[in-house]
Amino acid sequence: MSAVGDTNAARSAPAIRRPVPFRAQIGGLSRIAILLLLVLTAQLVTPSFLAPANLQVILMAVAAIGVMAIGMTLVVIAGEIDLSIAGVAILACVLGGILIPTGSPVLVIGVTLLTGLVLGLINGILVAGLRIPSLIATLGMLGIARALANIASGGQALYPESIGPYVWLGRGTLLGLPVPVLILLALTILAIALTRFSIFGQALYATGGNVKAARLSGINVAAVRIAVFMLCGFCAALAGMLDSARLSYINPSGFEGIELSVLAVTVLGGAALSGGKGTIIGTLVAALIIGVVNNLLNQLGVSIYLQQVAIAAVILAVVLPDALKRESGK
Amino acid sequence: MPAVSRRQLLKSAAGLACAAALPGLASTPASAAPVHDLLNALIKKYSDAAKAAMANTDIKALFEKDGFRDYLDVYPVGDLAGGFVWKPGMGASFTGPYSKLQIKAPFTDYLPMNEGPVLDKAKTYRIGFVFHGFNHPWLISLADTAAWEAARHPNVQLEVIDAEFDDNKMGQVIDTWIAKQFDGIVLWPSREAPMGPPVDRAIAAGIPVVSLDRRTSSEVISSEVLGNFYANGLQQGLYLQHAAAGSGAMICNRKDLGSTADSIRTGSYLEVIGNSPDYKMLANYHTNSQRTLAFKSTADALQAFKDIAIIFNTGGEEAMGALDAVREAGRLNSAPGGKKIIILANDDAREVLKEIRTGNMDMVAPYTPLIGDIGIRAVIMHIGHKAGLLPEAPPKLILTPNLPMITREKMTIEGIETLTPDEWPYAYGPEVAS
Amino acid sequence: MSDAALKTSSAGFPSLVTVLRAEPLLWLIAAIIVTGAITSEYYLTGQNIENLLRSVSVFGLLALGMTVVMLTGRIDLSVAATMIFSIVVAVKVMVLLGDGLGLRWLVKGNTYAGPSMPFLAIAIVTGCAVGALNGIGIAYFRIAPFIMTLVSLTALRGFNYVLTDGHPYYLRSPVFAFVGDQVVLGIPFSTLVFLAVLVALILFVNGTVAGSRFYAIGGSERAALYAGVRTERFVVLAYMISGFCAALAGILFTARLKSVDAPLASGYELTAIAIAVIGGTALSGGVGSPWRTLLGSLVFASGLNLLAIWGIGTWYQNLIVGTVLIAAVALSRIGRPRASS
Repeated sequence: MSAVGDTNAARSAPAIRRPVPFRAQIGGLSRIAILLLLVLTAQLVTPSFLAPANLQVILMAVAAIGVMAIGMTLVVIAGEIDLSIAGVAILACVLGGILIPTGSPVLVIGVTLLTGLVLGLINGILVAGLRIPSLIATLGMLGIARALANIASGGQALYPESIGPYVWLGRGTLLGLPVPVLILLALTILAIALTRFSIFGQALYATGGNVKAARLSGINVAAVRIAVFMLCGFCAALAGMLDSARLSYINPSGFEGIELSVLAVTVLGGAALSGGKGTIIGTLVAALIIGVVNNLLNQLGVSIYLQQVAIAAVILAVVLPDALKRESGK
Repeated sequence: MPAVSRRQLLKSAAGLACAAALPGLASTPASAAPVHDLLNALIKKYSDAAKAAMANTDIKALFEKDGFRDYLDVYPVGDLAGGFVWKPGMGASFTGPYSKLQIKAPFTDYLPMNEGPVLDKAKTYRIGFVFHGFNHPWLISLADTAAWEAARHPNVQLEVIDAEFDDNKMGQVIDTWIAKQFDGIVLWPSREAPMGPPVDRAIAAGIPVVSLDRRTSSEVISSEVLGNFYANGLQQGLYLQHAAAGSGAMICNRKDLGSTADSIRTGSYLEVIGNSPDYKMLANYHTNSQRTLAFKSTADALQAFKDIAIIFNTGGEEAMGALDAVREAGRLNSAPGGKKIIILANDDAREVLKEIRTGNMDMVAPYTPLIGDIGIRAVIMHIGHKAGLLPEAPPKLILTPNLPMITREKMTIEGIETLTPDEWPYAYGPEVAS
Repeated sequence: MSDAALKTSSAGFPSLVTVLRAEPLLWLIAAIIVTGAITSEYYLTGQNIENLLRSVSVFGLLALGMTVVMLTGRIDLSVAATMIFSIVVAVKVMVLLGDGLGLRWLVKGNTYAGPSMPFLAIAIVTGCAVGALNGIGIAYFRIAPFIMTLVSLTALRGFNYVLTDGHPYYLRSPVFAFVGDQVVLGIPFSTLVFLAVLVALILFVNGTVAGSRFYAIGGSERAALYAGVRTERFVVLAYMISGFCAALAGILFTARLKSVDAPLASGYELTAIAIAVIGGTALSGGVGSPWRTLLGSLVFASGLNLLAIWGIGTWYQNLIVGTVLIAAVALSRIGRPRASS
């Protein structure tokens, strides 16, 4: 069953998928080509674009959303959707933040990530156990999580400045790279390994591609779903933590509307909401595309309102060739 | 409404001259006259100068493009109600009912009301307080003061609703209170236009309505309690002239386009610096009070421009986001000549004050949220006047005192004596542990 | 099942008994109203009933348009942005027209002072045009519905700000006052408009061949294709209906607020989806009906109205709404024969 009405793809019902060949893995050359084109244009327009300092700014801006998008990609490959990531991120950070007075980094960071896992588990149970469509289940969870975050924090901001390791996650550097960027890279590698080389990855694509066939071949579809929501919840909590650490500021009203941005990046990366398609690298390239466009337009002083229109155009430009290719291929 | 401003300003200016001649008023840390009047006089001075000419072409172009003149002209500037004189140090201290933080509210003696039952002691008065952003530090402090005032009167019941920046929802809340036949309504509107009709309906139903800080488009609202936007932008400009001596390249992190907060603060700032030809306007960003947006735009701007010397922020969140971006890029002292980038801020949050103490931020013009209590008292007075229990109603325009800026070290700029962070007991929001 | 029971009675309406038995939502609505009447003296007042009915009209219209799209198994995220966009475009176009005719239709204070009827017409046309664009992108260019309408949503929101420069436009003519405030026999005019559209859609969806095509496409698009149905056209039609409803909702909305402002109606698309789903519309398509969506809207509006009458704080309201949404759908899944997966 598709997560959202994506009946266009339903016209071509795929059989069980094997691990996707490498070329398709990198999400189609068109995406990378567009990224390179954008970078080239940016370098022509603002000559300092490729300076290491600027590249770092872009990577940092992309880090949190990239982490969330990786989690979302896994969920979308499995044929579901997770709209609750903003709520998960903020509730996780708030619950961890409430423990700041204990002074224990293990407690604060641990509770944050654990909350992400638990909320993901609840999402998974709602979807796999109670059979609630994931759009509704996660939409409801979004409201619930945000409300709980407000109630738990009393609407007050929390400051993790005193927890060194926490702040280091957002502001520290390791091996010459900022920690958030490193975490993004590490997560990317892990996720690629998961999707391409593990049995779980195969099960993921199978579940998203054709559920009946997946069941028939012995895959525990419910377990796959629960697991993938837990992974997404973990990523959401992690991303929330990176952002909060970077600003050293946990704000219960944060991450407003981020679910649509993350979904945009995910589908831009080639994942189809009907399931069974999508790659981690595609998502990452998409995140970079958006990051580059934002950075360039900010440098040119373009208003955020016009930027929205530009982003919409970019999404269309990336998605159209894909769609037309699909059409001509059928 | 505009008729009040100019004439009142002239009166204040005249009053200034007299006050300067009177000793004994010098009990305030500021100069002889109340700082409210001093700032009003400066507002008039720079407004007149800007209307006559704007020598800086960048600034002139921006000023005209965003239409600041229209907004500035209708924004009320004038005297305080009832001849109230405010001095730093006044006001009650208490624990915020919602934030649980220690609060000293500066204006609890403005339009004063004694503790205890109000008006008809046998009646319970139900007042509705609707605003947005219960989880925003400025706004929760606004609610704190309103709730505190209501709690001082046992026969006042307050219902507090957060409309979460949905203007339509705020209108629906007001309509519900009309159905519930509430006695009074106090609101903090996010946008002016959509709030006019619901307020009009409440007034038509016989319910007094008072707005706080931002305004509505209603012409029949009982009272508007207004903040000191004009003095904010003015002092940011005054400080800049003092610190930058008329030159430097700047970027601006502004609030949402078309909002009063953005128009008046930015407009008055530009009025002050508009006749210095050597300022360069590099970029304007509308970061809508969001720290993360201001962070992003500043981070990207720092890459685009290597000569940024000034960052103008219309709010505390924007200023914090900008500062974080500057710090992450390691560019705090990257203004031309190895000098520190000047960061100008509004909103006297405790975390902003901390940055002033450490020298990361250069100045902050306070815009205190601790004015909710004035709104509650004003609406109670309106209720009483309507019921014939009080001889007079509060004025339609209730201006709050202009507040002096806060800088790390005490200085006097054009007659305004600044306060240091330790001299400012009214900061809001949680303390940042470090 | 209840949908079939309602459908097979072609253009007529089913008997009261059948309806009551088949609709758990009606019981829920009744329960809410009774609870409200018992717990608050202000619940059954004319003012509160008026408030309740008003809030049904805007969200109900959005949900109706969304239902039609969801019947075909698709989704429309751009409805809220279209609401505002259609009004903004109407202002801009009329002012331009006025300038061309030498008349000033935008007077001091950004108030629109031109003729109202052409204004409303342009708004409706804009909504339909947006819907058509969405539909064409989805049906002919094969762009996934989520992406296409996300693109429209993002672009339109941006345009709303760019076109208005962040300033509001005031709409103060008597026509707007009538549309926004007029009450006819205790029922707000906006609710009457909503009911008219509801009846029209019920007749269309249940009584015409075109209507049944939506169910066919949603049920199995392949089968519909093989049966010779030109699915693309119906998809475009579905989105145009959604756009039409969005523009109409925008008119009712801005007439009540006597103004249009770029940040308005943020996030209303998700609420519209939630209401449609509460009303039993399936995201996968082929299941749902305008009548059920009406019930969903009534549940949503009366529930929120009750919470407001009780004075429940916003955070707890949100908690309740999220929980009820999940619970409502969970319960409806229990009652219904499970679709595969």
